[in-house]
Amino acid sequence: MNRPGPTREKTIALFLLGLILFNPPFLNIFNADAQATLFQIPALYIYFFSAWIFLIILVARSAKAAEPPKAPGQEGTRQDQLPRDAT
Amino acid sequence: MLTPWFIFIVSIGYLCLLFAIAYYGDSRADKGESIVRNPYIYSLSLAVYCTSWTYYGSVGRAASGGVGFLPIYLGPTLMFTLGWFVLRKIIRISKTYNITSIADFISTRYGKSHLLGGLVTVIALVGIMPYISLQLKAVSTSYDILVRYGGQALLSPPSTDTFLTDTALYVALLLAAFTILFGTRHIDATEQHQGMVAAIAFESIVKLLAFLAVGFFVTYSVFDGPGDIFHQASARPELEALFTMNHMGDGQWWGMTLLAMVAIVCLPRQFQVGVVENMDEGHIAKATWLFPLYLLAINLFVLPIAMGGLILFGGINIDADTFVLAIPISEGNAWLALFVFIGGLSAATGMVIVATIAISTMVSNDLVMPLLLRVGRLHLSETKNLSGLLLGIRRTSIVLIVLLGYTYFRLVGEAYALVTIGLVAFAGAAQFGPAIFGGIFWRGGTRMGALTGLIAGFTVWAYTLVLPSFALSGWIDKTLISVGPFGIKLLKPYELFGLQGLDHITHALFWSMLANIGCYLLFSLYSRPSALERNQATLFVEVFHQQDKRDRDVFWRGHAAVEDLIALAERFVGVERARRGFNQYARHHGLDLTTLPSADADLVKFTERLLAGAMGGASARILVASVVKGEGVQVEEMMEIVDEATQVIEYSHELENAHKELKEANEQLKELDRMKDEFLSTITHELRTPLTSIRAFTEILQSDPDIAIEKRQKFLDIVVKEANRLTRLVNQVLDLAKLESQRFDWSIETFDLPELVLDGTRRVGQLLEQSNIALSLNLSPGLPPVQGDKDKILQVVINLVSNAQKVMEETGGQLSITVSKTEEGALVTVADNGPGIAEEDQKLIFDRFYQANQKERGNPMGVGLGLAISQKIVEHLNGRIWVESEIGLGSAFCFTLPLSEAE
Repeated sequence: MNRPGPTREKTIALFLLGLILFNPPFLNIFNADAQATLFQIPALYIYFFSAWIFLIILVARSAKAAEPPKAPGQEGTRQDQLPRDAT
Repeated sequence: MLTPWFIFIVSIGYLCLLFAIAYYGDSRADKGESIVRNPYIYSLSLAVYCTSWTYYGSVGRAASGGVGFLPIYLGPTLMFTLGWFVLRKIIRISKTYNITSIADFISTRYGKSHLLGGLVTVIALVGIMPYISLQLKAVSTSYDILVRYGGQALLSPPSTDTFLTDTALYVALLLAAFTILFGTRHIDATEQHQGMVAAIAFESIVKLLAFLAVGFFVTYSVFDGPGDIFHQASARPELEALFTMNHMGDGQWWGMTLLAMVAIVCLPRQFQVGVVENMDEGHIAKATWLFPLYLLAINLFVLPIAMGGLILFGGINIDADTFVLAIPISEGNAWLALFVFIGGLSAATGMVIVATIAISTMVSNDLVMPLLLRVGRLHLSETKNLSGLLLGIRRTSIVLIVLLGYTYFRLVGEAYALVTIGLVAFAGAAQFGPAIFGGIFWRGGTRMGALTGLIAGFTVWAYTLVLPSFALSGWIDKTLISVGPFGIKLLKPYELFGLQGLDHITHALFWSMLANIGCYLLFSLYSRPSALERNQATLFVEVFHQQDKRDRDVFWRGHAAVEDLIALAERFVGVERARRGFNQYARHHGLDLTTLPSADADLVKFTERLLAGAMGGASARILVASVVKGEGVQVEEMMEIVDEATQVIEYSHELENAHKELKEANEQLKELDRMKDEFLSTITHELRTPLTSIRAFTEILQSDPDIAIEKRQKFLDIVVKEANRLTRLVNQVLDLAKLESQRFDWSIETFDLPELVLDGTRRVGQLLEQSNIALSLNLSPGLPPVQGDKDKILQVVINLVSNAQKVMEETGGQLSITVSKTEEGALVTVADNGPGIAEEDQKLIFDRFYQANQKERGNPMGVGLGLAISQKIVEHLNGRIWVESEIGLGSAFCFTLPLSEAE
């Protein structure tokens, strides 16, 4: 990935993935049985937090491509910077 | 141990620490060594999203609805996956046009409309009240609990009394003072409050650590790990019910998720830290996952704490909103309780500070200043320095906003749980969503659409959420909710138009968004935007394509005196800052402002941006317009160009293509012109040769009467021959001209080709004999008749035969003429065994200018225009003519003709 920034397609794909993961009806899969547990923790809770961290990792991976190589003096995005107040 | 004074002093101490951090951050920023310019501080500052609503309220909601609190944090996570495109675009626009607030953003997008900016400010102001009251409620309640039960076991639920409400007032005043202290030291709101951001980031760390601390304490000290908590909970049916999400309908879940997605951008405080305070849009890349990670971390222990609290306080009536604080107290851990209290204080103060700064900027820039400008411009223009006035307006509005929040708290706050109040505010902020997202992705959104959408959405929101909340608090008759206004059932605020089965928030969200988006689309589609609106729409939507053209945001025509502009800026942003700004501009552009006769459009725009940073785009425009002389702002007629920027690109492609075609046509024309010149010179040359010899011989005859009769006869023969040649040539030229201009008269008929060929050879038979040429004919007599112009074909045959005769005139040879049938029709071949034609000449030979080249090469072939004419004729009759030849072996000229269709 040499292009600056995550691709639009990838971003939208991740967004849609998140939308599906965190909303009904997909959620209802883990909602069926209150007895279902893992390490005594309800399966629904486990699902939420693992899906959440999963999505964050995917976003982090795609965001890595967005970070431009550090170039000194090019940090600011404001052109024509207005002066800072010294008071 | 935790006496009220001790808690008070710790709280004040903490606030002073915050101020110290802010002060340090500001002083470093002034030296140009920013401590907040990195993606981590940026992500932490975004966590101002987690207010005391999150801090205390999430546990409360989890205790009654299980995972139902999560959509509020999953929504922002989803929105941040799109952050690189959505948030970055908003930031780029805001930086480019010095936008100071969400009201400024919407007003600038829709034609720098004062009305829209004011409306957004009012909505934000109304929407923020419940939210601020929520923070006050949280701080005062937690303070009260801590003071009452600090260090002792929790015996009875807290009660409300006058002392508590006093606490809220103190908290409110304290927060207002603190906000004023470092929120309005500067006048330019676009100049980021770096100190404030540093303090907010610090607060985000404190509240996260405090929450994690209490989470660890409950999970691993009070209980034996999360498994233990949930195992104990599963033993109770009412707690086990929380393991599922049956408390929320699918619609409600989606509604919450979407609401939070919009709120993370549209809440005034999120816009402040996420957009206005952003130092570098590249920071978003890391924030897209760091901020969601923060949200995950702060929510990790919500469920264990909620379950733990429910197990611990099973029989006692304790508000679940206070579990975070109540558990450490009941377990006798006073220091942890104090830390939790400080964490909650962090969450509340962070929200109040950022929100009031954001709203006060909006109030001064988009509400008060425009009104002052409109009502008393004369009076204003007499005032020397107005930056003090701006600051005054801002400080007053900060106090007023916080006090309004306090008033709401006194009037309504007690009736609601924390989470519900927060959601009411969210739904209010969400009304900005259509105007913002529509505004940055859809060029068609107009001022009228945004205006009607906002009004409709706001009205429905107020009617379905705020009004009933007053009723519930006893300020309005409760029958409003139960039977509807004036007994009209269809207008019941919680069941509008008979819509049932949704919770209040989702219900309100549905109707308000339907009204908002519906009006926005409808009025955008059916209103005619002004030129300025269309200009702004294009600038916003295409911001990434227009970085180099950003100064086209307003077309200033006419001129302004430099000193007028400087004086204007000095009055509103302060003398020193204005001077510095203009000096920097002059240095940057290599100008000397003192000698500049008048300001150009660029300098005028610079002044406008400078002012926009202090008082919003709409006001800045009016101010600058008052100084620019002559035609001032001329937008209307010029804007079509920029507006159609996208189409322009398409047009330019089309233009490019058209240009290419024109170029090709031009090349062709040039070539034709060149050929015409050549043709003329060839013709002239051809005409001159016989004319010269005719003149030479007649002059001899004229000047010398004594020439012998034989010689005279010989000369006269030459003259006649040359005259014939001349006639033939002229006839050919006429024929060719007629053929090319298509004025030839064709008489198409069916005839027998072999017969015609025979006729043709007979006519030149004598010539052939004279030249010693043997003729062999192969005419396939059974050939079906062909279609064409008989006379013209005869001309072609004679042409070909006489050409062959000419090439073999000196040497003699063999001429063979064949007529045969092929797939293409009838084929006539005239073959000689003359010198032949070089391959590169075989195509050119039909060119009417070919002869000239041949002459230059000393080729004796005097074909003239015969072949060119033959080609025209054959091709006109749907045939084909070509030559096959090899040097030294002779040439064969062939042409085809279509057979009569009757066959």
